[in-house]
Amino acid sequence: MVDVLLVSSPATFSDIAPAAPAILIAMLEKAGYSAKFYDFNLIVNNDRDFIDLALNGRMPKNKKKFNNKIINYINDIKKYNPKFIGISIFTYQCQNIAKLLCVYLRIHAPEIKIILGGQGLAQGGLEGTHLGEKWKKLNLCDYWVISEGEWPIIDIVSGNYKETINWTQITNLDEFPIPNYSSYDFSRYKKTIPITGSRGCVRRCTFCDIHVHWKKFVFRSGMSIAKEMIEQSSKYGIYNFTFTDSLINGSMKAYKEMCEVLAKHNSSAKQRISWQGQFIFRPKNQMPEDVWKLSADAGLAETHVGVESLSESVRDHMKKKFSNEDIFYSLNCMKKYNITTVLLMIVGYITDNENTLQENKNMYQKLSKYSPNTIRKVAIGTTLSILPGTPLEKIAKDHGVKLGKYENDWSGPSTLETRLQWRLELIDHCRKLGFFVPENEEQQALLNYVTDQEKIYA
Amino acid sequence: MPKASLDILVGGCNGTPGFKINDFTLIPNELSEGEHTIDFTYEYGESIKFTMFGKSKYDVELVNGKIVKDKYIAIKKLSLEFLEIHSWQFHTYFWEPYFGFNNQSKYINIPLRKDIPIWFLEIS
Repeated sequence: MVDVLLVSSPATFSDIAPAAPAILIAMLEKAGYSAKFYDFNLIVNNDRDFIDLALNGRMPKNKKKFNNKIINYINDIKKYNPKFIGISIFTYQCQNIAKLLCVYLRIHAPEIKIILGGQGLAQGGLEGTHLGEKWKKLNLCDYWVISEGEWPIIDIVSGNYKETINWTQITNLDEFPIPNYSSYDFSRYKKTIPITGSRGCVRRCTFCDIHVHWKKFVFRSGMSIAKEMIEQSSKYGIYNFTFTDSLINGSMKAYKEMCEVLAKHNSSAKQRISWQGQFIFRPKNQMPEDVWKLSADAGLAETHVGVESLSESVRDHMKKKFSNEDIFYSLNCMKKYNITTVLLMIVGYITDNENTLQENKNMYQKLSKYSPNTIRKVAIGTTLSILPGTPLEKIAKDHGVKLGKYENDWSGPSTLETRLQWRLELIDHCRKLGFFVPENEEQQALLNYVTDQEKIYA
Repeated sequence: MPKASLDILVGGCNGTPGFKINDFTLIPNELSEGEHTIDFTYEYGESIKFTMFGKSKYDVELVNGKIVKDKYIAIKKLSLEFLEIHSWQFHTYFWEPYFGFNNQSKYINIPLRKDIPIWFLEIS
């Protein structure tokens, strides 16, 4: 018998163990309840029936076979004999299977109370419509939680919970216990342990909804983060960590403190701790070279930086707050101290045009000397999405932007087709310069779709 | 008894039609033109019967052979326990979700509760 079984809903595609269930398990255990994690997402990750339904909403043709398959998984879940099942809906692509799980659990395990949580319960970004209330009305769940689940899950299990769309951000992350990964099978994940040092962001980028949702940037003390890494590495025999933060160098005070403790640990440890995470480029006066050296000694292996655009004017409009000079400075430091980076890019910002496209191309040319040893990858993910609640949504009209049905089909200064073409052009340009740029099949499919629609309605 | 709600669009011409869901009746002109949500209850293993009534041959307006005004009921969405059946699902798995004739009735057979998951797979 377990009080709470946390179940991940497919489909997400990460080889890193999910962080949230481990912290919820630790919270529940601290409050005197038992909890385990069933990584359903991982279990069915190679099953086309589940993936197709999750991503495309397509039901498998052989319904009987699929029905039997789901019942087998429900029986696996029932073996834990849980009082509550907490379904983790990480992104909107986890909604279809979550709904399916709810229906099957209601019929085949009606005694189990269902809790739904995760950012995937919101449609259209963090500030979009929340599905919790609607799904509860359909009797798909007993409880739903918006945003941070650490305290709500305790309230639910102890019978003191009241759903609300208005949540209060947790401001003291240091009061949480160390995440418990005991029910995880680490042989099935990449050898890295997730860790969270902060929530929110110090920047107010126009296109982003992180700062709209998490009003405050809250962070743990550097000592507490380093202590967790040292303790977890010893407990699980895994010495690499991946930060889930929007940025790991948001508070330079906490960052330096963490680095000092880890650098000291690494100087005498048999096995060095290493780590990676999302980062912001800072000017030299904010992140001098000795801090880069300290970072390397502390085990910083790779940064993932939301550069977004290599045009300074576009980046200024986005409020990214770093110059091309800062990019070169940071890359030189990373090169010197053997730290790799992944550049995260957006194509087709509202102020992008043929000139800024050319500025991007010129900068990629200049940055090509850092590839592949320092710039390991350039992730030209998607064209610009205008998310609900973001500063960009508020100023869109003033820039002649007409919002579309979906987040990225807005029109005005450019069309979706143009933006998708720019994206292909940049990918091609980067690849010719020797950068590693991964595929994004969804974006290519979108371009094909848009082109087809234009042919149909021409 | 599980609860359900039905989202409909009501069209008027010389007033609006009456509408029945099983024994629950909305008399003609009780509903205004436009969108409405009707709450009702149902049973597993039984049918839900929808009937439009109160329309005569004069309750449709034609201009050059085209309907410009009509007395009708169009189902937009049926919300049952666990699942919603949208207009496209009515078209694909049941029937045209449009009532244009007097005393026109259509049925949805609700499976037994234990068979809801497979029904969910079939009509999703």
